[in-house]
Amino acid sequence: MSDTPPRSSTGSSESTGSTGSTGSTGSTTTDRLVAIARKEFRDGIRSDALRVVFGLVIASTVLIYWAIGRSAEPGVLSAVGFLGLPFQLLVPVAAIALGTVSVAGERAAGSLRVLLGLPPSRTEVVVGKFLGASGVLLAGLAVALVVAAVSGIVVFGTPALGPLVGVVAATALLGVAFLGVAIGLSAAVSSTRRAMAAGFGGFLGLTFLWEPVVAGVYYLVAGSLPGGGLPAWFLAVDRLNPIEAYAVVANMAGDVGVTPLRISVGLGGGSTAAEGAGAAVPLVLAEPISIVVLCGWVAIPLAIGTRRFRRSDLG
Amino acid sequence: MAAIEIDDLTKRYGDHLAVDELSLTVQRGEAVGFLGPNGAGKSTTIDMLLDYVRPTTGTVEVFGFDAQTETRAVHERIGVLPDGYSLYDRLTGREHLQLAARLKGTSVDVAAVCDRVGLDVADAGRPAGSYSKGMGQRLAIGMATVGDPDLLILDEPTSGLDPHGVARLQDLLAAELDRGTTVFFSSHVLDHVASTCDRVAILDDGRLVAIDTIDGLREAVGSAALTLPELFAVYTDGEDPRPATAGVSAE
Repeated sequence: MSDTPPRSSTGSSESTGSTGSTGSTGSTTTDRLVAIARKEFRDGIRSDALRVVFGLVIASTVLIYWAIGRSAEPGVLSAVGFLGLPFQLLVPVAAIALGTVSVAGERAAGSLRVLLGLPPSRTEVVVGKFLGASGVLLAGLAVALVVAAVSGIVVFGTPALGPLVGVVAATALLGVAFLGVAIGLSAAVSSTRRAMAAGFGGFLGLTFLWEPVVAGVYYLVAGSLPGGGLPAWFLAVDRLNPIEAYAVVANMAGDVGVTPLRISVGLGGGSTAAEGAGAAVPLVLAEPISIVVLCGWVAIPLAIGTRRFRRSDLG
Repeated sequence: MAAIEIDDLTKRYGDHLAVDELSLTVQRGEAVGFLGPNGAGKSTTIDMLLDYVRPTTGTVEVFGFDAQTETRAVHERIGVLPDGYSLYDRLTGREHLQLAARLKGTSVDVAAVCDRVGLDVADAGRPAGSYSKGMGQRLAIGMATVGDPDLLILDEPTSGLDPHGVARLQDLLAAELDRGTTVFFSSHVLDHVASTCDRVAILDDGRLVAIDTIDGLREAVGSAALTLPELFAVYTDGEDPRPATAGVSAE
Protein backbone atom coordinates (compact mmCIF):
# COMPACT_ATOMS: atom_id res chain seq x y z
CA MET A 1 0.00 0.00 0.00
CA SER A 2 2.48 2.64 1.09
CA ASP A 3 6.15 3.28 0.62
CA THR A 4 7.74 0.66 2.75
CA PRO A 5 11.40 -0.11 3.31
CA PRO A 6 14.00 -0.80 0.67
CA ARG A 7 13.79 -3.41 -1.97
CA SER A 8 13.94 -6.90 -0.59
CA SER A 9 16.99 -8.57 -2.00
CA THR A 10 16.22 -12.00 -0.62
CA GLY A 11 13.29 -13.56 -2.45
CA SER A 12 13.79 -12.92 -6.11
CA SER A 13 17.36 -14.04 -6.56
CA GLU A 14 16.68 -17.31 -4.79
CA SER A 15 13.47 -18.15 -6.57
CA THR A 16 15.14 -18.00 -9.96
CA GLY A 17 17.75 -20.45 -8.80
CA SER A 18 15.25 -23.26 -8.59
CA THR A 19 15.05 -24.78 -12.02
CA GLY A 20 11.64 -24.96 -13.57
CA SER A 21 9.81 -23.97 -10.43
CA THR A 22 6.81 -21.87 -11.36
CA GLY A 23 5.97 -21.06 -7.76
CA SER A 24 7.39 -17.73 -6.72
CA THR A 25 7.10 -15.01 -4.17
CA GLY A 26 5.40 -12.56 -6.52
CA SER A 27 1.91 -11.12 -6.71
CA THR A 28 -1.32 -13.10 -6.94
CA THR A 29 -3.92 -12.72 -9.68
CA THR A 30 -6.05 -10.73 -7.25
CA ASP A 31 -3.16 -8.38 -6.45
CA ARG A 32 -2.61 -7.75 -10.13
CA LEU A 33 -6.28 -7.23 -10.96
CA VAL A 34 -6.64 -4.81 -8.05
CA ALA A 35 -3.47 -2.94 -9.03
CA ILE A 36 -4.60 -2.53 -12.64
CA ALA A 37 -8.16 -1.66 -11.64
CA ARG A 38 -6.90 0.94 -9.19
CA LYS A 39 -4.62 2.44 -11.83
CA GLU A 40 -7.46 2.51 -14.34
CA PHE A 41 -9.79 4.09 -11.80
CA ARG A 42 -7.35 6.86 -10.87
CA ASP A 43 -6.55 7.50 -14.50
CA GLY A 44 -10.26 7.48 -15.44
CA ILE A 45 -11.57 9.85 -12.78
CA ARG A 46 -8.91 12.37 -13.80
CA SER A 47 -10.11 12.35 -17.40
CA ASP A 48 -11.60 15.70 -18.43
CA ALA A 49 -13.96 14.14 -20.97
CA LEU A 50 -15.42 11.89 -18.32
CA ARG A 51 -15.85 14.75 -15.87
CA VAL A 52 -17.75 16.65 -18.53
CA VAL A 53 -20.10 13.72 -19.17
CA PHE A 54 -20.81 13.21 -15.48
CA GLY A 55 -21.19 16.96 -15.05
CA LEU A 56 -23.97 16.67 -17.63
CA VAL A 57 -25.51 13.70 -15.79
CA ILE A 58 -25.66 15.69 -12.57
CA ALA A 59 -26.82 18.91 -14.23
CA SER A 60 -29.65 17.09 -16.02
CA THR A 61 -30.61 15.36 -12.76
CA VAL A 62 -31.01 18.67 -10.95
CA LEU A 63 -32.81 20.14 -13.94
CA ILE A 64 -35.34 17.29 -14.06
CA TYR A 65 -36.28 17.64 -10.38
CA TRP A 66 -36.55 21.37 -10.70
CA ALA A 67 -38.70 21.20 -13.87
CA ILE A 68 -41.02 18.43 -12.64
CA GLY A 69 -41.44 20.31 -9.36
CA ARG A 70 -42.83 23.26 -11.27
CA SER A 71 -44.95 21.23 -13.68
CA ALA A 72 -48.73 20.88 -13.60
CA GLU A 73 -48.58 17.47 -11.93
CA PRO A 74 -45.50 17.40 -9.76
CA GLY A 75 -44.53 14.01 -8.35
CA VAL A 76 -41.28 12.48 -7.20
CA LEU A 77 -41.89 9.24 -9.09
CA SER A 78 -42.21 10.93 -12.45
CA ALA A 79 -38.96 12.80 -11.73
CA VAL A 80 -37.25 9.47 -10.99
CA GLY A 81 -38.73 8.03 -14.19
CA PHE A 82 -37.46 10.95 -16.23
CA LEU A 83 -33.90 10.37 -15.00
CA GLY A 84 -33.88 7.31 -17.25
CA LEU A 85 -33.65 9.50 -20.36
CA PRO A 86 -30.41 11.41 -19.71
CA PHE A 87 -28.96 8.39 -17.91
CA GLN A 88 -29.41 5.97 -20.80
CA LEU A 89 -27.93 8.45 -23.22
CA LEU A 90 -25.00 9.81 -21.22
CA VAL A 91 -23.89 6.74 -19.31
CA PRO A 92 -23.44 4.55 -22.42
CA VAL A 93 -21.59 7.46 -24.03
CA ALA A 94 -19.29 7.68 -21.00
CA ALA A 95 -18.81 3.91 -21.03
CA ILE A 96 -18.00 3.82 -24.75
CA ALA A 97 -15.61 6.76 -24.45
CA LEU A 98 -13.88 5.18 -21.46
CA GLY A 99 -13.87 1.62 -22.79
CA THR A 100 -12.84 2.05 -26.41
CA VAL A 101 -9.62 3.88 -25.51
CA SER A 102 -8.77 1.55 -22.64
CA VAL A 103 -6.77 -1.15 -24.38
CA ALA A 104 -6.34 0.23 -27.90
CA GLY A 105 -5.34 3.66 -26.58
CA GLU A 106 -2.62 2.18 -24.39
CA ARG A 107 -1.55 0.00 -27.25
CA ALA A 108 -1.19 2.95 -29.61
CA ALA A 109 0.50 5.19 -27.04
CA GLY A 110 2.91 2.52 -25.80
CA SER A 111 2.00 2.41 -22.10
CA LEU A 112 0.72 -1.13 -22.71
CA ARG A 113 4.32 -2.11 -23.37
CA VAL A 114 5.19 -0.97 -19.86
CA LEU A 115 2.21 -2.73 -18.29
CA LEU A 116 2.78 -6.01 -20.13
CA GLY A 117 6.49 -5.86 -19.34
CA LEU A 118 5.38 -6.36 -15.74
CA PRO A 119 3.88 -9.68 -14.55
CA PRO A 120 0.19 -9.24 -15.62
CA SER A 121 -1.14 -11.40 -18.42
CA ARG A 122 -3.14 -9.89 -21.24
CA THR A 123 -6.34 -11.33 -19.76
CA GLU A 124 -5.56 -9.71 -16.42
CA VAL A 125 -4.99 -6.40 -18.16
CA VAL A 126 -8.42 -6.55 -19.85
CA VAL A 127 -10.28 -7.71 -16.75
CA GLY A 128 -8.46 -5.24 -14.48
CA LYS A 129 -9.27 -2.41 -16.83
CA PHE A 130 -12.90 -3.47 -16.94
CA LEU A 131 -13.08 -3.47 -13.13
CA GLY A 132 -11.38 -0.08 -12.83
CA ALA A 133 -13.51 1.56 -15.50
CA SER A 134 -16.64 0.07 -13.90
CA GLY A 135 -15.53 1.71 -10.68
CA VAL A 136 -15.33 5.06 -12.45
CA LEU A 137 -18.90 4.69 -13.77
CA LEU A 138 -20.18 3.56 -10.37
CA ALA A 139 -18.48 6.48 -8.64
CA GLY A 140 -20.10 8.93 -11.06
CA LEU A 141 -23.50 7.29 -10.62
CA ALA A 142 -23.11 7.29 -6.83
CA VAL A 143 -22.71 11.06 -6.97
CA ALA A 144 -25.74 11.29 -9.26
CA LEU A 145 -27.72 9.13 -6.81
CA VAL A 146 -26.92 11.44 -3.90
CA VAL A 147 -27.75 14.53 -5.96
CA ALA A 148 -31.06 12.98 -7.07
CA ALA A 149 -31.98 11.95 -3.50
CA VAL A 150 -31.20 15.39 -2.14
CA SER A 151 -33.12 17.03 -5.00
CA GLY A 152 -36.09 14.77 -4.24
CA ILE A 153 -36.07 15.79 -0.59
CA VAL A 154 -35.70 19.48 -1.41
CA VAL A 155 -38.34 19.59 -4.13
CA PHE A 156 -40.85 16.91 -3.09
CA GLY A 157 -40.00 16.23 0.54
CA THR A 158 -39.05 12.61 -0.22
CA PRO A 159 -36.30 10.94 -2.26
CA ALA A 160 -38.46 7.90 -3.25
CA LEU A 161 -35.34 5.95 -2.45
CA GLY A 162 -36.50 2.48 -3.54
CA PRO A 163 -37.45 3.35 -7.13
CA LEU A 164 -34.53 5.79 -7.37
CA VAL A 165 -32.00 3.14 -6.37
CA GLY A 166 -33.70 0.80 -8.86
CA VAL A 167 -33.18 3.25 -11.73
CA VAL A 168 -29.59 4.06 -10.75
CA ALA A 169 -28.73 0.37 -10.31
CA ALA A 170 -30.21 -0.43 -13.73
CA THR A 171 -28.20 2.44 -15.20
CA ALA A 172 -25.05 1.05 -13.59
CA LEU A 173 -25.79 -2.31 -15.20
CA LEU A 174 -26.40 -0.63 -18.56
CA GLY A 175 -23.16 1.33 -18.26
CA VAL A 176 -21.22 -1.79 -17.36
CA ALA A 177 -22.79 -3.62 -20.33
CA PHE A 178 -21.60 -0.91 -22.71
CA LEU A 179 -18.25 -1.00 -20.99
CA GLY A 180 -18.05 -4.73 -21.71
CA VAL A 181 -18.76 -4.07 -25.37
CA ALA A 182 -16.38 -1.11 -25.57
CA ILE A 183 -13.47 -2.80 -23.81
CA GLY A 184 -14.06 -5.96 -25.84
CA LEU A 185 -13.82 -3.89 -29.02
CA SER A 186 -10.81 -2.03 -27.69
CA ALA A 187 -9.00 -5.30 -27.01
CA ALA A 188 -9.96 -6.78 -30.36
CA VAL A 189 -8.68 -4.02 -32.63
CA SER A 190 -5.33 -2.26 -32.79
CA SER A 191 -6.46 1.34 -33.18
CA THR A 192 -8.54 3.54 -30.91
CA ARG A 193 -10.26 5.12 -33.88
CA ARG A 194 -11.59 1.79 -35.07
CA ALA A 195 -12.76 0.80 -31.59
CA MET A 196 -14.53 4.14 -31.18
CA ALA A 197 -16.18 3.96 -34.57
CA ALA A 198 -17.45 0.47 -33.81
CA GLY A 199 -18.52 1.45 -30.27
CA PHE A 200 -20.48 4.57 -31.14
CA GLY A 201 -21.70 3.02 -34.40
CA GLY A 202 -22.98 0.05 -32.43
CA PHE A 203 -24.75 2.32 -29.95
CA LEU A 204 -26.49 4.19 -32.76
CA GLY A 205 -27.32 0.87 -34.40
CA LEU A 206 -28.98 -0.38 -31.22
CA THR A 207 -30.94 2.87 -31.05
CA PHE A 208 -31.98 3.20 -34.71
CA LEU A 209 -31.67 -0.16 -36.40
CA TRP A 210 -32.73 -2.69 -33.81
CA GLU A 211 -36.42 -2.40 -34.60
CA PRO A 212 -36.11 -3.02 -38.35
CA VAL A 213 -33.68 -5.89 -37.69
CA VAL A 214 -36.01 -7.58 -35.22
CA ALA A 215 -38.97 -6.92 -37.53
CA GLY A 216 -36.94 -8.50 -40.34
CA VAL A 217 -36.42 -11.59 -38.22
CA TYR A 218 -40.17 -11.69 -37.59
CA TYR A 219 -40.83 -11.36 -41.30
CA LEU A 220 -38.53 -14.29 -42.07
CA VAL A 221 -40.27 -16.49 -39.49
CA ALA A 222 -43.92 -15.39 -39.80
CA GLY A 223 -44.04 -14.22 -43.41
CA SER A 224 -45.50 -10.86 -42.48
CA LEU A 225 -44.48 -7.75 -40.60
CA PRO A 226 -45.25 -7.69 -36.87
CA GLY A 227 -48.69 -6.48 -35.90
CA GLY A 228 -51.54 -7.34 -33.54
CA GLY A 229 -50.91 -9.95 -30.87
CA LEU A 230 -47.20 -10.66 -30.93
CA PRO A 231 -45.65 -13.93 -29.79
CA ALA A 232 -43.54 -13.96 -26.66
CA TRP A 233 -40.40 -14.94 -28.55
CA PHE A 234 -40.62 -11.75 -30.60
CA LEU A 235 -40.71 -9.59 -27.50
CA ALA A 236 -37.95 -11.67 -25.95
CA VAL A 237 -35.75 -11.07 -29.00
CA ASP A 238 -36.62 -7.38 -28.86
CA ARG A 239 -35.46 -7.31 -25.25
CA LEU A 240 -32.03 -8.59 -26.18
CA ASN A 241 -31.32 -4.97 -27.00
CA PRO A 242 -29.53 -3.65 -23.89
CA ILE A 243 -31.52 -0.42 -24.08
CA GLU A 244 -34.79 -2.35 -24.05
CA ALA A 245 -33.50 -4.59 -21.26
CA TYR A 246 -32.51 -1.47 -19.34
CA ALA A 247 -36.03 -0.08 -19.38
CA VAL A 248 -37.36 -3.38 -18.04
CA VAL A 249 -34.79 -3.51 -15.23
CA ALA A 250 -35.13 0.18 -14.35
CA ASN A 251 -38.84 -0.29 -13.61
CA MET A 252 -38.35 -3.43 -11.53
CA ALA A 253 -38.03 -1.67 -8.17
CA GLY A 254 -41.15 0.40 -8.82
CA ASP A 255 -42.81 1.23 -12.13
CA VAL A 256 -41.66 4.81 -12.62
CA GLY A 257 -42.23 4.73 -16.38
CA VAL A 258 -38.65 4.59 -17.67
CA THR A 259 -38.95 4.13 -21.43
CA PRO A 260 -36.23 2.82 -23.72
CA LEU A 261 -34.48 5.56 -25.67
CA ARG A 262 -35.01 4.15 -29.13
CA ILE A 263 -36.12 5.47 -32.45
CA SER A 264 -39.27 3.70 -33.62
CA VAL A 265 -40.33 3.63 -37.24
CA GLY A 266 -43.50 1.71 -36.46
CA LEU A 267 -42.24 -1.77 -37.29
CA GLY A 268 -42.40 -3.04 -33.72
CA GLY A 269 -46.13 -3.73 -33.84
CA GLY A 270 -46.70 -2.11 -30.45
CA SER A 271 -45.17 -4.25 -27.79
CA THR A 272 -47.68 -3.22 -25.12
CA ALA A 273 -50.54 -4.93 -26.97
CA ALA A 274 -49.10 -8.38 -26.46
CA GLU A 275 -48.07 -7.73 -22.89
CA GLY A 276 -51.64 -6.86 -22.10
CA ALA A 277 -52.98 -9.91 -23.91
CA GLY A 278 -51.34 -12.63 -21.86
CA ALA A 279 -52.30 -12.61 -18.17
CA ALA A 280 -49.49 -14.97 -17.22
CA VAL A 281 -46.11 -13.63 -18.31
CA PRO A 282 -44.12 -16.35 -20.07
CA LEU A 283 -40.71 -17.18 -18.63
CA VAL A 284 -38.77 -15.59 -21.50
CA LEU A 285 -40.40 -12.27 -20.64
CA ALA A 286 -39.78 -12.48 -16.88
CA GLU A 287 -38.10 -9.28 -15.75
CA PRO A 288 -34.96 -10.90 -14.27
CA ILE A 289 -34.19 -12.28 -17.75
CA SER A 290 -33.33 -8.72 -18.72
CA ILE A 291 -30.68 -8.64 -15.98
CA VAL A 292 -29.20 -11.79 -17.50
CA VAL A 293 -29.28 -10.13 -20.94
CA LEU A 294 -27.32 -7.13 -19.67
CA CYS A 295 -24.79 -9.44 -18.00
CA GLY A 296 -24.43 -11.20 -21.34
CA TRP A 297 -23.57 -7.88 -22.96
CA VAL A 298 -20.78 -7.54 -20.40
CA ALA A 299 -19.34 -11.02 -20.63
CA ILE A 300 -19.57 -12.08 -24.27
CA PRO A 301 -17.86 -9.10 -25.94
CA LEU A 302 -15.21 -9.06 -23.20
CA ALA A 303 -14.49 -12.76 -23.75
CA ILE A 304 -14.26 -12.41 -27.52
CA GLY A 305 -12.12 -9.29 -27.32
CA THR A 306 -9.77 -10.86 -24.79
CA ARG A 307 -9.37 -13.93 -26.97
CA ARG A 308 -8.34 -11.83 -29.95
CA PHE A 309 -6.07 -9.66 -27.81
CA ARG A 310 -4.27 -12.70 -26.41
CA ARG A 311 -3.47 -13.92 -29.89
CA SER A 312 -2.34 -10.69 -31.46
CA ASP A 313 1.14 -9.27 -31.97
CA LEU A 314 1.55 -5.88 -30.35
CA GLY A 315 3.15 -4.03 -33.23
CA MET B 1 21.02 -22.32 -16.87
CA ALA B 2 21.47 -19.23 -19.03
CA ALA B 3 19.68 -15.94 -18.38
CA ILE B 4 18.55 -15.76 -22.02
CA GLU B 5 18.57 -18.64 -24.47
CA ILE B 6 17.36 -17.73 -27.95
CA ASP B 7 17.20 -20.69 -30.28
CA ASP B 8 16.71 -20.53 -34.03
CA LEU B 9 14.31 -17.62 -33.71
CA THR B 10 12.53 -16.38 -36.82
CA LYS B 11 9.86 -13.72 -37.23
CA ARG B 12 8.31 -13.21 -40.61
CA TYR B 13 5.88 -10.40 -41.45
CA GLY B 14 4.42 -11.39 -44.80
CA ASP B 15 7.41 -11.48 -47.14
CA HIS B 16 9.65 -9.59 -44.76
CA LEU B 17 12.01 -11.53 -42.53
CA ALA B 18 12.41 -9.32 -39.47
CA VAL B 19 14.43 -11.88 -37.54
CA ASP B 20 16.16 -14.72 -39.34
CA GLU B 21 17.16 -17.91 -37.48
CA LEU B 22 18.67 -16.04 -34.58
CA SER B 23 20.41 -18.01 -31.85
CA LEU B 24 22.18 -16.45 -28.92
CA THR B 25 22.86 -17.08 -25.27
CA VAL B 26 23.32 -14.58 -22.47
CA GLN B 27 24.92 -16.04 -19.35
CA ARG B 28 23.80 -15.08 -15.87
CA GLY B 29 25.48 -12.03 -14.47
CA GLU B 30 26.87 -10.76 -17.76
CA ALA B 31 26.15 -7.51 -19.56
CA VAL B 32 25.47 -7.92 -23.24
CA GLY B 33 25.00 -5.04 -25.64
CA PHE B 34 22.59 -5.74 -28.47
CA LEU B 35 23.58 -3.68 -31.48
CA GLY B 36 22.48 -3.24 -35.03
CA PRO B 37 21.42 -0.62 -37.55
CA ASN B 38 17.84 0.63 -37.54
CA GLY B 39 15.54 -2.10 -38.77
CA ALA B 40 18.03 -4.88 -38.05
CA GLY B 41 15.49 -6.71 -35.90
CA LYS B 42 16.66 -5.75 -32.40
CA SER B 43 13.31 -4.51 -31.17
CA THR B 44 11.45 -7.39 -32.78
CA THR B 45 13.77 -9.80 -30.98
CA ILE B 46 13.22 -8.04 -27.65
CA ASP B 47 9.46 -8.00 -28.36
CA MET B 48 9.54 -11.78 -28.69
CA LEU B 49 11.57 -12.05 -25.50
CA LEU B 50 8.77 -10.14 -23.76
CA ASP B 51 5.97 -12.00 -25.58
CA TYR B 52 4.63 -8.82 -27.16
CA VAL B 53 5.17 -10.55 -30.49
CA ARG B 54 5.02 -14.29 -31.20
CA PRO B 55 7.82 -16.02 -33.12
CA THR B 56 7.11 -17.58 -36.50
CA THR B 57 9.48 -20.38 -35.49
CA GLY B 58 12.06 -20.93 -32.79
CA THR B 59 12.03 -20.42 -29.04
CA VAL B 60 13.13 -17.95 -26.40
CA GLU B 61 13.85 -19.00 -22.83
CA VAL B 62 14.56 -16.73 -19.90
CA PHE B 63 16.03 -18.47 -16.83
CA GLY B 64 14.73 -21.69 -18.34
CA PHE B 65 11.16 -20.43 -18.73
CA ASP B 66 9.59 -20.25 -22.16
CA ALA B 67 8.90 -16.61 -23.02
CA GLN B 68 5.64 -17.47 -24.81
CA THR B 69 4.12 -20.15 -22.61
CA GLU B 70 5.56 -19.26 -19.18
CA THR B 71 5.33 -15.53 -19.61
CA ARG B 72 4.46 -14.73 -16.01
CA ALA B 73 7.40 -16.68 -14.59
CA VAL B 74 9.63 -14.72 -16.97
CA HIS B 75 8.13 -11.34 -16.21
CA GLU B 76 8.36 -11.85 -12.45
CA ARG B 77 12.13 -12.08 -12.83
CA ILE B 78 12.86 -9.27 -15.24
CA GLY B 79 12.80 -5.49 -15.35
CA VAL B 80 11.92 -3.97 -18.68
CA LEU B 81 12.47 -0.68 -20.44
CA PRO B 82 10.60 -1.34 -23.68
CA ASP B 83 11.05 0.32 -27.03
CA GLY B 84 8.37 2.87 -27.98
CA TYR B 85 6.83 2.96 -24.52
CA SER B 86 4.87 5.80 -22.94
CA LEU B 87 3.88 6.61 -19.38
CA TYR B 88 0.45 7.42 -17.94
CA ASP B 89 0.08 11.19 -18.28
CA ARG B 90 -2.42 11.49 -15.47
CA LEU B 91 -0.56 9.32 -12.94
CA THR B 92 2.26 10.67 -10.81
CA GLY B 93 5.79 9.27 -10.78
CA ARG B 94 5.10 7.78 -7.36
CA GLU B 95 1.94 6.08 -8.67
CA HIS B 96 3.93 4.59 -11.53
CA LEU B 97 6.49 3.10 -9.16
CA GLN B 98 3.77 1.81 -6.85
CA LEU B 99 1.95 0.24 -9.78
CA ALA B 100 5.11 -1.64 -10.76
CA ALA B 101 5.66 -2.73 -7.15
CA ARG B 102 2.09 -3.97 -6.69
CA LEU B 103 2.18 -5.89 -9.93
CA LYS B 104 5.42 -7.51 -8.83
CA GLY B 105 4.09 -8.28 -5.39
CA THR B 106 6.69 -6.18 -3.65
CA SER B 107 7.09 -2.74 -2.15
CA VAL B 108 9.08 0.23 -3.32
CA ASP B 109 11.07 2.94 -1.61
CA VAL B 110 10.15 5.83 -3.90
CA ALA B 111 12.85 8.14 -2.54
CA ALA B 112 15.56 5.52 -3.04
CA VAL B 113 14.50 4.80 -6.62
CA CYS B 114 14.37 8.52 -7.42
CA ASP B 115 17.83 8.94 -5.99
CA ARG B 116 19.16 6.03 -8.02
CA VAL B 117 17.88 7.34 -11.35
CA GLY B 118 18.37 11.04 -10.59
CA LEU B 119 14.73 12.07 -10.38
CA ASP B 120 13.82 14.79 -7.90
CA VAL B 121 11.56 13.30 -5.19
CA ALA B 122 9.32 16.36 -5.44
CA ASP B 123 8.78 15.53 -9.11
CA ALA B 124 7.57 12.06 -8.12
CA GLY B 125 4.44 13.78 -6.78
CA ARG B 126 3.64 15.35 -10.15
CA PRO B 127 1.81 13.68 -13.04
CA ALA B 128 4.09 12.08 -15.62
CA GLY B 129 2.35 14.12 -18.34
CA SER B 130 4.28 17.15 -17.06
CA TYR B 131 7.68 15.42 -17.30
CA SER B 132 10.38 16.16 -19.86
CA LYS B 133 11.57 13.28 -22.05
CA GLY B 134 14.59 12.74 -19.82
CA MET B 135 12.55 12.70 -16.61
CA GLY B 136 10.15 10.20 -18.15
CA GLN B 137 13.08 8.02 -19.17
CA ARG B 138 14.50 8.16 -15.64
CA LEU B 139 11.14 7.16 -14.19
CA ALA B 140 10.79 4.30 -16.67
CA ILE B 141 14.29 3.05 -15.81
CA GLY B 142 13.33 3.31 -12.14
CA MET B 143 10.21 1.23 -12.79
CA ALA B 144 12.36 -1.43 -14.45
CA THR B 145 14.47 -1.79 -11.30
CA VAL B 146 11.50 -2.21 -8.92
CA GLY B 147 11.50 -5.58 -7.20
CA ASP B 148 15.20 -6.30 -7.80
CA PRO B 149 14.87 -8.17 -11.09
CA ASP B 150 17.46 -10.78 -11.97
CA LEU B 151 17.56 -9.62 -15.56
CA LEU B 152 17.25 -6.10 -16.92
CA ILE B 153 16.14 -5.78 -20.54
CA LEU B 154 16.63 -2.21 -21.66
CA ASP B 155 15.84 -0.98 -25.15
CA GLU B 156 17.77 2.24 -25.85
CA PRO B 157 18.10 3.24 -22.18
CA THR B 158 20.20 6.33 -22.93
CA SER B 159 17.58 7.79 -25.23
CA GLY B 160 16.48 11.21 -23.99
CA LEU B 161 19.06 11.30 -21.19
CA ASP B 162 21.47 14.19 -20.72
CA PRO B 163 25.13 13.39 -19.86
CA HIS B 164 24.29 13.39 -16.13
CA GLY B 165 21.51 10.92 -16.80
CA VAL B 166 23.83 8.69 -18.81
CA ALA B 167 26.38 8.78 -15.97
CA ARG B 168 23.65 7.82 -13.47
CA LEU B 169 22.61 4.98 -15.72
CA GLN B 170 26.22 3.74 -15.90
CA ASP B 171 26.40 3.76 -12.09
CA LEU B 172 23.05 2.02 -11.80
CA LEU B 173 24.04 -0.69 -14.24
CA ALA B 174 27.41 -1.14 -12.52
CA ALA B 175 25.64 -1.57 -9.17
CA GLU B 176 23.16 -4.03 -10.67
CA LEU B 177 25.97 -6.05 -12.25
CA ASP B 178 27.81 -6.12 -8.91
CA ARG B 179 24.69 -7.56 -7.36
CA GLY B 180 24.67 -10.34 -9.96
CA THR B 181 21.93 -8.95 -12.20
CA THR B 182 22.13 -9.84 -15.86
CA VAL B 183 21.87 -6.88 -18.23
CA PHE B 184 20.77 -7.10 -21.85
CA PHE B 185 20.41 -3.81 -23.64
CA SER B 186 20.29 -2.26 -27.04
CA SER B 187 21.83 1.10 -27.75
CA HIS B 188 23.08 3.34 -30.49
CA VAL B 189 25.46 5.06 -28.09
CA LEU B 190 28.39 2.76 -28.69
CA ASP B 191 30.75 4.39 -26.19
CA HIS B 192 28.25 3.63 -23.49
CA VAL B 193 27.97 0.06 -24.70
CA ALA B 194 31.77 -0.33 -24.80
CA SER B 195 32.15 0.86 -21.22
CA THR B 196 29.35 -1.29 -19.78
CA CYS B 197 29.25 -4.55 -21.69
CA ASP B 198 31.12 -7.78 -21.28
CA ARG B 199 30.09 -8.84 -24.77
CA VAL B 200 28.27 -7.34 -27.71
CA ALA B 201 25.92 -9.05 -30.14
CA ILE B 202 25.59 -7.42 -33.55
CA LEU B 203 22.47 -7.93 -35.59
CA ASP B 204 22.21 -7.02 -39.25
CA ASP B 205 19.23 -7.65 -41.50
CA GLY B 206 17.64 -9.97 -38.95
CA ARG B 207 20.74 -12.14 -38.63
CA LEU B 208 23.31 -12.34 -35.87
CA VAL B 209 26.61 -11.38 -37.48
CA ALA B 210 28.77 -11.39 -34.36
CA ILE B 211 28.70 -12.03 -30.64
CA ASP B 212 31.91 -11.63 -28.71
CA THR B 213 33.89 -9.41 -26.38
CA ILE B 214 35.16 -6.24 -28.00
CA ASP B 215 38.68 -7.66 -27.94
CA GLY B 216 37.37 -10.80 -29.54
CA LEU B 217 35.79 -8.78 -32.32
CA ARG B 218 39.07 -6.92 -32.87
CA GLU B 219 40.89 -10.20 -33.09
CA ALA B 220 38.38 -11.63 -35.53
CA VAL B 221 38.70 -8.60 -37.78
CA GLY B 222 42.48 -8.62 -37.37
CA SER B 223 42.91 -5.08 -36.22
CA ALA B 224 43.60 -4.40 -32.54
CA ALA B 225 43.20 -0.63 -32.86
CA LEU B 226 39.57 -0.49 -33.91
CA THR B 227 37.00 1.19 -31.66
CA LEU B 228 33.55 -0.28 -31.19
CA PRO B 229 31.97 2.19 -33.69
CA GLU B 230 34.55 1.12 -36.26
CA LEU B 231 33.96 -2.55 -35.52
CA PHE B 232 30.22 -1.96 -35.79
CA ALA B 233 30.75 -0.44 -39.23
CA VAL B 234 32.87 -3.38 -40.35
CA TYR B 235 30.21 -5.87 -39.29
CA THR B 236 27.20 -4.06 -40.65
CA ASP B 237 28.49 -2.28 -43.77
CA GLY B 238 28.59 -4.91 -46.42
CA GLU B 239 31.76 -6.61 -45.19
CA ASP B 240 31.31 -10.32 -45.62
CA PRO B 241 29.54 -11.17 -42.37
CA ARG B 242 30.73 -14.15 -40.46
CA PRO B 243 28.28 -17.03 -40.16
CA ALA B 244 25.71 -16.42 -37.48
CA THR B 245 26.77 -19.34 -35.34
CA ALA B 246 30.50 -18.62 -35.28
CA GLY B 247 30.56 -16.55 -32.11
CA VAL B 248 27.62 -17.97 -30.23
CA SER B 249 29.52 -20.13 -27.81
CA ALA B 250 32.38 -17.71 -27.35
CA GLU B 251 32.76 -16.61 -23.77
